Amino acid sequence: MSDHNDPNDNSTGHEWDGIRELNNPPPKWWAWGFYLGLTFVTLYYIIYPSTPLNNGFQKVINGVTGMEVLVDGHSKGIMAMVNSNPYYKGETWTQAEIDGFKAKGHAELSIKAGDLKYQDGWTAINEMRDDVADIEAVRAGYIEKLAGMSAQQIIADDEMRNFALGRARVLFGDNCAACHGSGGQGTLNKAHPGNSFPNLTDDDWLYGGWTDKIAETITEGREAEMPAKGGNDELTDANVDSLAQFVVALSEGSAALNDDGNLTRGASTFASANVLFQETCAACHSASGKGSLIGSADSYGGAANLTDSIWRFGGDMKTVRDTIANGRKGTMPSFAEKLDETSIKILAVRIHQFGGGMNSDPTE
Amino acid sequence: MSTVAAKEEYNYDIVKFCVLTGIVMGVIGTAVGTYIASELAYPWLNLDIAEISFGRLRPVHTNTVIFGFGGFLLYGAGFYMVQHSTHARLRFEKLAWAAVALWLISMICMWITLPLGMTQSKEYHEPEWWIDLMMAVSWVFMTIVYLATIANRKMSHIYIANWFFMTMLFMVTYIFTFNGMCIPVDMTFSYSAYAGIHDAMTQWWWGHNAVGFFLTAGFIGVMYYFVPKHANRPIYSYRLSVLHFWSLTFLYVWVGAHHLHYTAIPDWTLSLGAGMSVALIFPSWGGMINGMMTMSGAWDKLRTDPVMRFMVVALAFYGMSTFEGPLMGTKSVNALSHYTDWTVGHVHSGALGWNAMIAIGAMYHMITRMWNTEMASAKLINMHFWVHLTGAVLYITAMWGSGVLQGLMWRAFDSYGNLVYTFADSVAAMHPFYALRAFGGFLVFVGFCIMLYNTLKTVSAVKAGSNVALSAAAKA
Ligand code: HEC
Ligand code: HEC
Ligand code: HEM
Repeated sequence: MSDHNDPNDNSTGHEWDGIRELNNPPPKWWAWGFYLGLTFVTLYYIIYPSTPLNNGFQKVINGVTGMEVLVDGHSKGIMAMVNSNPYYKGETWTQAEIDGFKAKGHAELSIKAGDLKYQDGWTAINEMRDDVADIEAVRAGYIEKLAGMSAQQIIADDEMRNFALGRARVLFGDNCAACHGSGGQGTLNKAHPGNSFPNLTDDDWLYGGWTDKIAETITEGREAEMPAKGGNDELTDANVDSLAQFVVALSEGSAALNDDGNLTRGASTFASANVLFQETCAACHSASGKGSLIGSADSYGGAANLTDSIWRFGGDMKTVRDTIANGRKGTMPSFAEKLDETSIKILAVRIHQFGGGMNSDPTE
Repeated sequence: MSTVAAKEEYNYDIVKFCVLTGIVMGVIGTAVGTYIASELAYPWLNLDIAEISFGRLRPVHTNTVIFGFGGFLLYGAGFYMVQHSTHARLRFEKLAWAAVALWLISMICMWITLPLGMTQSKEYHEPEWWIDLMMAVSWVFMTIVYLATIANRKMSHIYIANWFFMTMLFMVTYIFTFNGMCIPVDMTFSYSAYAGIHDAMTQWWWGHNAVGFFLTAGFIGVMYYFVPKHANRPIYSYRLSVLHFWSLTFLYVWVGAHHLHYTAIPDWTLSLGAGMSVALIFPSWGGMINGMMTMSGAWDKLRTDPVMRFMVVALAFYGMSTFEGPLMGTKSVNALSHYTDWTVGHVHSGALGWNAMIAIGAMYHMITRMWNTEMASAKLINMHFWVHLTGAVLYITAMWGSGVLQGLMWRAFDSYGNLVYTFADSVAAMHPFYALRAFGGFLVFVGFCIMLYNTLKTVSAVKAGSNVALSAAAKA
């Protein structure tokens, strides 16, 4: 080893601060690798589209923005001859699609019906589109079938239900789990009760747990407001206290109301609180306190059932008092723009199948 | 052949300042790194304070380790080796001090502005335009001093280390300036001069060549001086150094596009970058081989000299990351690795393995030579080596594991053609890897603390006159 690294010979004669340089050639294997690398790039550039050329520009529509962009001229590579993607061979623009872009405001489009949709020739992006298309082809049969079925039919059909639930996993995880929890179990946020989200797996519903209603919730979104003091400024702090005690008692069972708003239990303790309740709260929560859905106080949607043990924001006295005194506002965003109809249908199936789904509108 | 100028004629004060500051930057940078790594594993650590959340502190970490630690090493080692390899004292010393001062001020301004959210949002180029300007002026001052000192050299040939350093000085000035072009709105905000894909391409032209020239050419220059000097062996092959110098310089500037595979950048541009990335393996390995072969006849030093060990292991990591990089630069591998922690693993085999270890080796070397002393504790250098190496290996393997797992989870489909995992599933799967990575990073931080302690003890022993003087053999 050290004979060709002998400091006494074979040096260039240069010296800096005692450092000298030897005249050894680079190791053979390195030199081979070096040339191999250069050969590789050369071949690579012949095979793949890689070199800018002034061979004409091509107008293509950017798939994300829908705008027309110029793609520079470049070498097409051998790949374009031996392996052109179906996208390249197949898809062309139709007049309807072009009119659609123009309607969206891209009036300057110069593309014509029959023009290729994507950059022509083999490209890695087109190859990726092909891979995606392969997976979409597996899905396509199911998706097409789903489009023609109602949510009820999907639930009744074992195979389609399994497909829908499999597909819902990621749909729900990516769109809904951030608020409703990974299993739809919701959250009760003790520190910030306003940041609590409803449980979708139980049979307690604000708006309704039958599939059409769930789909409506997802499509349109929901905004429900519990106004401070029920919107009645005249309520005193003492009134709020007694209402809070009353509401908690309704939930625990030490007080109960019939459908006409008369106390059937706890009449001695809560008579005056019930007067306040029927005056201010019943309009939304219904005379029975069972909420807008079951109690069908149809003046307002989303008012919670106060007679069960399930809480939207928390059932300890402090939180309930805070809810009544300061109000709450819950917003379920609308997904009409973000998800297509089939995806929303799939999600409605998913939520119905969490366990608490209703078969129909309970008030009908 | 000229005679070596008496060592007293060299300006060591500025080098001493840079080396000490560099070590402190290493401690701070790795401390912040460990903290943000822990935030990823245990998110409550951000305490709901925006200023210390991951997004704000990550650029503080990267800028502190790259431009703080790496920058002060390059300034210090640059000023040291340009004097030693030209046998000339530094020219324009006031300008050199101004360069160092501006760089330090820039770092401090960066520490304040980035947590407040003032950023250009360009990776490795985050600080706002006025900090950019200070850094650019500092860099140009450094370049002038360097070139002027080389012009004053006492021999006809320019040593290879200085070639590498000069390409770095030229290229970094060039790419930093062009990527930094912007329209300032006020002190806290500016608009990039480029839009869309041009912005992206310019950004990664800079991003990759910050790696290629700042973290590679500059550090290879450092390697070319400190490895033969510390091993006391001649450079193995002059021809190899010429070949890999020109090929590396030529190839690096093309490859930035591999950071943008499968994006809106035209396909041919990406192929161009991918091809050059693969061709870059052997030019990169040229430096590793020349350094390794220079060791022949001095391998026994590895057993006795932990500083030598730092340098040799650095070269091994350099070889590894420049093999991995080209692999990741190809589209098929990048389709899996892109956006995953694999990239982070790759970065840190370069950063912790190569850059940090060669820098640490050079710093120990300079400290003993400049103060003419042995380090206060040889045991602590040895300990630093093992703690650092263990930390780096844990870090890198954790990120390989999590990166590949992430990549596979994102592309898993069931038999119906539906995705199997949600994004949140993959985040949850990262937890053990993130915890391990944070531990690895912590070890590297501990290593830097050991180094700082050992250095301060050494310097105060010299002041007190209680140190052991460097042996004559080492001084030669
Ligand atoms: C930003 C948080 C957020 C996201 C994301 C979100 N939701 Fe909601 N969702 C809510 C809130 C808040 C409510 C309760 C509204 C209220 O208080 O009236 C709600 C209510 C609902 C309800 C009504 C429950 C009932 O008892 O009637 C359904 C069904 C529902 N969400 C489904 C979904 C689905 C499906 C998704 C995903 C596509 C989703 N949500 C995404 C916040 C969210
Ligand atoms: C304008 C209609 C309206 C009135 C009036 C109203 N509420 Fe509500 N209340 C709501 C709605 C809607 C919700 C559910 C809010 C949500 O989910 O975002 C609600 C929620 C609540 C809750 C929280 C239930 C839980 O599960 O956490 C309590 C408690 C409550 N109301 C008590 C009252 C009391 C007491 C009054 C009378 C002072 C009252 N509300 C008056 C609409 C109303
Ligand atoms: C031949 C040499 C190298 C090549 C071809 C190369 C290639 C690559 C590739 C393909 C990526 C991933 C890009 C992505 O998918 O986003 C990357 C990332 C990175 N590499 Fe290298 N690499 C090389 C050497 C190095 C070295 C020596 C370092 C030293 C630290 C380094 C530092 C980095 C950094 C910091 C990133 C992260 C960029 C980001 O933030 O996204 N690389 N490199």
